[in-house]
Amino acid sequence: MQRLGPRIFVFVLGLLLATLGVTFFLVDRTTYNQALDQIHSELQAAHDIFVHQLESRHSAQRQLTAVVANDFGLKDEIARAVAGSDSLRVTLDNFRTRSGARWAIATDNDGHLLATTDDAYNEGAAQLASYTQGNDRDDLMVYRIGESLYQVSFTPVYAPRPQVIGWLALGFALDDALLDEFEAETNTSVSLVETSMMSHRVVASSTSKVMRDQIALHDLTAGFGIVELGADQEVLFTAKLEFDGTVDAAIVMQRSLSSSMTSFSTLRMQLLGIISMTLVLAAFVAWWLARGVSRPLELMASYVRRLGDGDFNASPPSGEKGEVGTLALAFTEMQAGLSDRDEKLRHLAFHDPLTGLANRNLLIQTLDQWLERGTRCAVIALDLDHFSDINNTLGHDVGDQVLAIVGKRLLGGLREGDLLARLGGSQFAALIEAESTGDALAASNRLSDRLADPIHIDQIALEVIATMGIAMNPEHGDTSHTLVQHAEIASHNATVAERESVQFYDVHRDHHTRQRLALMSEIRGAITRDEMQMFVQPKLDLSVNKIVAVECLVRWLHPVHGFVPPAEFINLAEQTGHIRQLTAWMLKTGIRWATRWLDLGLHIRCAINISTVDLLDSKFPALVRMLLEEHHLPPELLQLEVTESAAMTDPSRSLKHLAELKALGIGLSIDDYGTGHSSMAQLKDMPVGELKIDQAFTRRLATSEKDQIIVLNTIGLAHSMQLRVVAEGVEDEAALLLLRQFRCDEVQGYHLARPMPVGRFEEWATTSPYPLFRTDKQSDAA
Amino acid sequence: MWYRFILPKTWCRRRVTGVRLGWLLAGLLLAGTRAGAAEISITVHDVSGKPLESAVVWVSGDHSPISGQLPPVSLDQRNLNFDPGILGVSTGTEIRFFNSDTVNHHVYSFSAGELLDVKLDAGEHGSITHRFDHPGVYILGCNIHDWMLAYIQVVDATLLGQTNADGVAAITMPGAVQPDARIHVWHPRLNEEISPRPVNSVVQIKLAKKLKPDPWLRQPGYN
Repeated sequence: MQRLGPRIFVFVLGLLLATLGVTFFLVDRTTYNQALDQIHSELQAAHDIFVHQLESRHSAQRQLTAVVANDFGLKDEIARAVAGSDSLRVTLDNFRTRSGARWAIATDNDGHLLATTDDAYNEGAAQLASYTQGNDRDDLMVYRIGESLYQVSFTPVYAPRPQVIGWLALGFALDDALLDEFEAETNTSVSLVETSMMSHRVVASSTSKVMRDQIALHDLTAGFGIVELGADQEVLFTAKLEFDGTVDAAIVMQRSLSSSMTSFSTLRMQLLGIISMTLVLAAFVAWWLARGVSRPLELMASYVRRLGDGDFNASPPSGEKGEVGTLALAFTEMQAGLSDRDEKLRHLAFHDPLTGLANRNLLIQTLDQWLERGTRCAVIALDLDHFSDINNTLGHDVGDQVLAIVGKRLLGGLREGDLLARLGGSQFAALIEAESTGDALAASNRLSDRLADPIHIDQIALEVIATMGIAMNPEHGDTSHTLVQHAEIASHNATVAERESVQFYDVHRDHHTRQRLALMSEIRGAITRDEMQMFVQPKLDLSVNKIVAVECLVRWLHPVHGFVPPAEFINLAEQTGHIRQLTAWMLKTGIRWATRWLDLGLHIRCAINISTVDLLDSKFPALVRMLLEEHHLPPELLQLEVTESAAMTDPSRSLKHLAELKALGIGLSIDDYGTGHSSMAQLKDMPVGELKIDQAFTRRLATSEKDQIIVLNTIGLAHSMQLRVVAEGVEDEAALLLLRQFRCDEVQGYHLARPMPVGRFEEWATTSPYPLFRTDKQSDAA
Repeated sequence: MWYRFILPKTWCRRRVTGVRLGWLLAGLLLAGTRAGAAEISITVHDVSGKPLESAVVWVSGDHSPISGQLPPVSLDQRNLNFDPGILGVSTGTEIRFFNSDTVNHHVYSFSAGELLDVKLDAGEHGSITHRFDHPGVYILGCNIHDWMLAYIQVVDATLLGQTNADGVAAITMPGAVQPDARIHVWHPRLNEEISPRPVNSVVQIKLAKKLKPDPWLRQPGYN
């Protein structure tokens, strides 16, 4: 029922059905009641006619009786009669026969019975005789004699009037024949019922014997109603028979309900017929209406569905007018728009909007096709060296122009059938057909030649240098993704290798192999499985010539792969977030050792490197404090080393966390100073107390005058800002001497000691030319 | 008025029984001694004061002998009615029936044990008689014409009369009035018993109750 068509159909039909139902019900009830009222009034009329007939009969009978009573012979007989006179009886019988009465009786003037026509009535007649006096009235008189009811007319016998010499009574039977006659005239059954409190007796009736018994059993209170009489439903109208007599009687007018309701039934059937026809007609109309609404919508829906599936050749349903037609028109317009948009999207999906070159998707797709065809080919990944400098200094507009020009130039360096794609940033890739590495190298040379001339933009001549990596099929990979990826890796290696601007992919120089990545995922487990080891490298305080601190370093001894250098997993640990666990482990271990050493009377600071991730973690300062408190380590024995780049990633948050760490009382130092882009000015606001000069400046200190100048000035500047200076990478005595002269505060390096397992530090100390720094008390004791 | 007191026009000689013969002789004697005769007048008014006509008035306790044979009295049928409608006669009087109409009549009576059944052809002229030997009220009807009605008051008295239109009846007393003589009044419409009155020359009787309804029916289609 969710569909519109059936719902309209059902709604229209339902509404009509409900309306017609109510109408039918009301009309049916009304006409039924009217029909019943009609029957009621007809029965009432029949009753009135019947009563009137009785009265008319009575009137006629009275006149008849009066005529009889006037007969001289009768008068003579009565005048001369004695009780039981046979002569009078015969005379009466004669008149009874003439008048059509059932019986006749005669009394004298005092009401004594003189004669009756039938001895069977003697008893009743004697009783009747007592009623005679004064009963010559017009009122209907009904008496019961024996089992029957009679209309009786009394009349005095005058000789002459007003002399009354006796009374004559004629009895006319109210019998079935009379009622049958009435039924024949009025089409209404009539019954005369003698009523009493206890039971009823049908005296005469025009109905069947069975019906009589039913009527006698029925409660005959006056009124109108439908009653069950036997198997039939009958309409009865019952009225008390008003007369001046000796019995209580009721007249029951009766018709069968079904025959009485014939006209009503006909009307009802007609009405039902009309309603049925209306419903059938309405069903057609509703179906037509529903179809008129739903059919165009269904056509539209299938049309739109085809549009949605990308079939822009679908044609809208035609010939529709009105709203659906408008909708179809709108969809047609939308179809055109969609088609246009789809074309643009399709182009965007496979092209780089800036240069108009293919993008990585198209490169991969094309490469897949080539590989499928078995074409020997090479992917040359190309990256512009220091392109970010152009963006940073001249703006992205210029950068974009450079990329566009580079794209055009590179395109010029390719042959027909080759594909050039921009992979993103300053990275490009060329797909070329190459039978050998020589072909590939030749192509790369053509590309680099194209970039030899500087690019002129707004009177600025820009030199662009590209590093290129080549991945050959099948030597360096047999899928499109690996080929492109390997070419990019080779390109990256080429950047690092500076003067070697073109590199072929070398699996041994790829730090991103799958095996290594899998290894990285084991870092977390490595910590819990105790595969990590802490190494320490001592730091010498030049002012007291004692070992005052150690830098804590992590080493990973993999059970399968053996030693894993930190450079390989620290970066990835930072990316995967495992660096937090690693740092925490380092903190715990370092603090535990420092505590141990303090217990031994050794005053050795532990310096631990923390990463950008740690520094930006708002929970990190709390962790440090918790660990310090847990081991009761004086905070000054903990030093955290932060690289410049880490501190500069999010300066405001870094500064906030550094301030919190500083507030704990621990030492903070800047690691690898001189390698980043920061300056002393940027460091001045940082709450650090120490600066570590990168080994790039100290490794060749003894021979490089420039390095000496840098180190000397850095130390001077740091001191002027109340910063202590630590020099890393001290590899010879000459460097150590120079640093003493330069008043450097602390040194560390191979000359002093290589990093060692922390457990061997104490043993090393015994052989070291420099003593360990002890707490005052124990120092004194020593 | 459609009935009238008619004097006997004809005299009819009848055989007289021994007892009656004595009465008749006395009456004749009274009539003969006219010198001592006195006329009394009886007036009857109904309750509203209107004179009551045709009331029969007689004097009882009069032992005066009947002077000769009682004269016969005529009862005519005229205009489809008895004429007169009320008759007062002495016991033993013979009624002569006349039929002045052009139609036949059939006079009958079942009163007081007397069965009268007389067919009178049109133009019957006194040839049919009936003698009323027993006192009482006789009601006569016609079997053919139901409306016809006549009352005959037969009394054991010879001094009798009927009131005229003025309600006055005159009776001539033959001689000295006997002390127990009483005056009686009867009319079919009387609704009360009128007590006998002592004889005086002038007797005024006023009815205490309304009269009964007029029993004479109008003949359908006439008048």
